[in-house]
Amino acid sequence: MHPEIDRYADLQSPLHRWDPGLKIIGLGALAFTFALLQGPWLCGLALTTAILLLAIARIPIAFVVSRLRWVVLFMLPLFVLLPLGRADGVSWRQAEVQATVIVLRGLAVTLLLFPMWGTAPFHRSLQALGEYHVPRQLLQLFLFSYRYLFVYLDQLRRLRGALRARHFRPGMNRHTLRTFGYGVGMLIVTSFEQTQRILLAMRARGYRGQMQTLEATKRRSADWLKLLGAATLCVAFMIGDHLWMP
Amino acid sequence: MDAVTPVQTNGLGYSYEDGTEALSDVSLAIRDGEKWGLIGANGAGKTTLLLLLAGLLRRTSGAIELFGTTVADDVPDSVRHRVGVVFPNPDDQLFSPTVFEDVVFGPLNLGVARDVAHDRTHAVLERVGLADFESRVPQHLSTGEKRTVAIATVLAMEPSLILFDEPTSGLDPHSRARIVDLIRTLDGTHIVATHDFDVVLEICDQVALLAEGKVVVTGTPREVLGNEKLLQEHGLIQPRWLPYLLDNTP
Repeated sequence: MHPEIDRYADLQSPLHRWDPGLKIIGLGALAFTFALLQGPWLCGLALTTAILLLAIARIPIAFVVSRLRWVVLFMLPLFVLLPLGRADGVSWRQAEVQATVIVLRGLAVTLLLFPMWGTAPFHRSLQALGEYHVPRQLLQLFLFSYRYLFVYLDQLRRLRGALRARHFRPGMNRHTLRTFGYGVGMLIVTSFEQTQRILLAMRARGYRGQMQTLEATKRRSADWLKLLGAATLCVAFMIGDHLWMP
Repeated sequence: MDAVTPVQTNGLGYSYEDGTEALSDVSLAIRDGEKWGLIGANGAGKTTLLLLLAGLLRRTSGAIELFGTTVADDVPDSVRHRVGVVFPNPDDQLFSPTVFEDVVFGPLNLGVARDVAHDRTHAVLERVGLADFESRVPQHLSTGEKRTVAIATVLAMEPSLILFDEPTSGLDPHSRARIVDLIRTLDGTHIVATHDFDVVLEICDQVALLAEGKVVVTGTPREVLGNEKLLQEHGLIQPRWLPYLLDNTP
């Protein structure tokens, strides 16, 4: 398991024990439902539900907050931009409410991603997606990105270290742009060459384009009950939203 | 022991797409259970020869016979499965999220039943001394540990012929000694491409010296490594301690 991506994947909670495949369906449907909500109060309730699920998953709030800051920074300007760009006949207050709905929905959906993807090892979740006939090329792309992203980040760090060791000081000039261009170009070339070597190594071990998995899916009745719970929540939110709609 | 010759090449050659010749007229016969060393300066063709034998490159001339089967353009799976390759950079070889999954990858690809592959992986990791590493992330291991896992990934496929490309490069003396000890305990036929003469002396029965894509000479490690002039002519330097060692060992 990756210490960064799978940091909380081995905790013990009902969400961790939920079969990853059914969990993706259940929480994915819930996220989709949240994304369609129109009523501000229901959006608030959706956010509360997402926070509750986070608490059940026992993922530390500090970790979540640190990962959410960019999302929040991206969404906060909506409180100004939407009222300023509102259509004729829409009051400032209505635009503010609309911004609130969007922000609450966005936060609720983003928070749901943590219990959805953070409560099982990432590769296990990818395997689950494979069971739903997500194209295997796409899954392998994710799997390899997952494995090699940090290798390339290390390379980038080394490259930056090498530049600093030769007293490179970035600035707004051609030299800086050219240096970054060379660095990124080198990284792309070395990454490409490494992918060729990786493919050779995989072929040497019998790889023919399909990843074989060791773990067979075993679903228990508790997994289905949790899915039923998620489905019930979806229906309840949809009914609530329908009733709220003028 | 396998009665057939695991590796036989006749006039084997390989050229890159731009026409540059990487290997030419290589003829070798490697008998079952033999441990061969491939030595040569950088660019001599050692890695290319290993990749050709593993069926990962297509020869452009000559012939390859593996385990009695003449290899045409594509190496048949039945033969390819008997050949394992340990690559020089373990980061190219280890890509799974955990050590266990990396080791089990090969057997599963070979169609080994899941429970058998599972048991085999446990056994191999135990054998290489990494039984506690099953759930570790390969990326976060030391270079020596990664190299050991890379060897384990090949052992789990139970190949008859193992090709090692620079198995000790970049290792500290302790890790290097562990890897050499591990390779020495392995059965089967081995070909080790290396710059490390120590490894050749410790592991190999026969050595082939390659230069500019050709086999210059073959012989025992004592014959080849003891010939300082020959090594110098082909871009290699005999370590100062080597003559002393050769004079003082039977």
